Amino acid sequence: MSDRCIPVTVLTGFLGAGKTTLLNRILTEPHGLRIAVIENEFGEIGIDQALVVRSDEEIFEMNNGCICCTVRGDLIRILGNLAKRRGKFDHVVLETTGLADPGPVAQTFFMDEEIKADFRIDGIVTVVDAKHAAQQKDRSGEWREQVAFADRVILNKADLVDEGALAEVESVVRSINALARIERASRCDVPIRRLLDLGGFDLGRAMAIRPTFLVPEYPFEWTGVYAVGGPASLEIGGDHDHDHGHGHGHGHGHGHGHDHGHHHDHPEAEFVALALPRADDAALKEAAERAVRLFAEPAAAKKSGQGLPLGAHVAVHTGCHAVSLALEAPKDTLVAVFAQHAPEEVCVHVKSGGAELAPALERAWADGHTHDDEVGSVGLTTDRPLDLKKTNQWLSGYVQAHGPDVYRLKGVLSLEGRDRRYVVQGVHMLIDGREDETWRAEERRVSQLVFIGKHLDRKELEAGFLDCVA
Amino acid sequence: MGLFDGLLGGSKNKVAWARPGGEPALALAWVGGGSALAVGRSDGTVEVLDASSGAPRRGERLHPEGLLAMAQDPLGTLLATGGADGQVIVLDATTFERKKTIDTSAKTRGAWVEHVAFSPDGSFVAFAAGKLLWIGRLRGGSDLFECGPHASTIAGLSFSPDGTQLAAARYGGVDLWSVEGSHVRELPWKSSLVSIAWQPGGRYLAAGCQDDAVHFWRLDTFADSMMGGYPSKPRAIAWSRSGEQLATGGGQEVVVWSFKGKGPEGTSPAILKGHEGLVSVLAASPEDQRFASGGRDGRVLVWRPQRSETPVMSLELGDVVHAIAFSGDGRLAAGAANGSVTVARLP
Repeated sequence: MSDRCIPVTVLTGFLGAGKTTLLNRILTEPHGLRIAVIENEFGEIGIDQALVVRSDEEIFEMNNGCICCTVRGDLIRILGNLAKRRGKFDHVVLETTGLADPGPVAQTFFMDEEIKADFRIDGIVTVVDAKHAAQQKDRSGEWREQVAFADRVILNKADLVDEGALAEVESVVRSINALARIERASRCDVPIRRLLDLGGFDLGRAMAIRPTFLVPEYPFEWTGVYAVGGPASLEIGGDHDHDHGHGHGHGHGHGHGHDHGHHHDHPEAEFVALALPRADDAALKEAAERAVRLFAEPAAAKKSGQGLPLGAHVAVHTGCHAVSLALEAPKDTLVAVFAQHAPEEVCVHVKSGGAELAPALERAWADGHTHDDEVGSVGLTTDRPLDLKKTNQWLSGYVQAHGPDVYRLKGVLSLEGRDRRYVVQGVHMLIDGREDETWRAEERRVSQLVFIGKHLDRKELEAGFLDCVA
Repeated sequence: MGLFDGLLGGSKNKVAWARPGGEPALALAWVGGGSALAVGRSDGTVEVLDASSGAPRRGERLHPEGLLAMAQDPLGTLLATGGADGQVIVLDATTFERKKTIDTSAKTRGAWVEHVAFSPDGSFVAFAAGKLLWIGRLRGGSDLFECGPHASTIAGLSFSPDGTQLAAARYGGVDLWSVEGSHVRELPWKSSLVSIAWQPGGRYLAAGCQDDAVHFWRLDTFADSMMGGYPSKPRAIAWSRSGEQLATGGGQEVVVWSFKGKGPEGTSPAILKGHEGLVSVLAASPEDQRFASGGRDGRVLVWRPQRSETPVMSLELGDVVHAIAFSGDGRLAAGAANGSVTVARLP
């Protein structure tokens, strides 16, 4: 019956972020889908249009008092009635008010058997106002929650701010939600058809589209792109006092004054260098996905004077002495250097012909380290197979105890004695798990589990996760 | 084919007629003294079919934005419909002459009219849209009493059997209104009520709850009680004609509680198995103690739970069953999401 389920896209975002603009695009652009819209009580879409329903966002708490059982009562009614008009529309778009907590919305699709039988949530799309995000992120818990719940974040009004500010907002979004895909837009000009087919709650499909999507955070903090015209080297570390001119005017997304305690000495620094087709953001992002995969491979130890091949994961010892690696890149190549540590911590330059090259493009990546009191993501990985029973017990126990703080949970697990991937999906206290595709022969069987929420204790999660190893 | 067809001699014998196709059949009403069957369809059309052949007699699209509710008065001469357009239409079931048309949308910013009900003697019609409900006098005047706004959207209406009060279920409890529009009392319950049914004897009010339970009140003392353990929300509930039994959905089984003597507390219900999907609708026979259940599996089963936990009749409609109506003279009509309408003779 599940293939008969009508997909639902949930649209969240602050007032003024551009939800109405996006809704209008969804209703007017030729994408071939018949859309039913459920708009919030302040909705601006004309009621005279066919299949636009106004909802009053009635939050129903259950008698057991559990916030994780809180559902949107109006949705149950409206969707229940829409289900009876099956065949008149292909897709439902649900707009929420700017201050809505997406939790009850998502839970409605887990909790109600009739809704589950007729509808499936395709994805949660959060529209972020790039111009005002800086103020909203600090003032509003709802803003952070909406970002935390998202499968896709549309960074709207990107044309109104400069590249540095955009990168900073992206870093903030990434530090809250390591899983969401971020898309820059002006007047919400994103491809509608793709937006309505995210498969955000279908992990099997999401993995196929982007195999690294469950890698919870970038394992590197900074990337510089250099136009290398001739022989060049990567210079790492050394006790420089001078200002090394990287010009990180835009901060690194973790400039909230929290303490990077573990960064204070770096016996090791890891790098990946990749060739880029162009020095632009899209090419860089694509390369970053490759770099994520390379960082997951064991690093080759390199000493000063050795070479740095493109597409390899290397590690060097840093200390008082600078390390120099010869870049093994063809002449006239754009080389992106992905560095494990930010340049303030481990200084990096590319030198060619005795002079330092200025980066053609540089970018800081969110490091994903979360504050205990903030909304953030914790990712767990192991290549040792997990025991189903232990994992089940631990996960159920964890969400029982911490459900209110766990906004989203996604995972692909390799279970002892099973040939199929096991995918899990959760919202607060509700978890769904099922067997998915068979692991391919050449594939590394890695279990990946990501929690997005607040007050997440990374150490506790790591310990609990590793206890599940068979 | 039905699960029990082998046992019961096949479905062909009992089916008087079946009319396939059309827009989803959401509501059914026997009208014209049992000579016709009114079908309310999701596209807003009300169709009147000849009860002996299924041939269409009349049809009109009353609610272009869709129909959500339909009821008939106890004499079977009037129909009331509610739609997504916020309109309520009361019309003659034979001539389709409109007796009343009421537009609620200005008062509710366009809420759907999801519930309509006639009082047991047909003197009043009640309808609800969003958090408001109205009670209209049909005889001895034409008053229209507006009741509310309620604390939350109304999820069900049920008149008391003596016709003096109306119960409105919502999130957080039930409101009782006199038929002349004054608030009688609130029966609070901290849950979302999704349906409501006044017992034919007038002693109990029962409500299905979103959190997988049935709640009920004793109306002499207003003491309340609940029955839980359902796998899903028991939206479908129906009292037997005698009021001694309450049939409830909330899963693939029909769960029947006995209200004989002291009531259901501490007793075990009868569990009737036969559906392979959630029970979507329940109805009680006005002639005897039988129930009929419809399911998401497309099956209609008729039960006589005092005698047996095996259904006495089975029909296959091929899609989610949305409506069941006993005629009161030995026939049963059922309508489904695939638009089909089937009339069968009860064994």
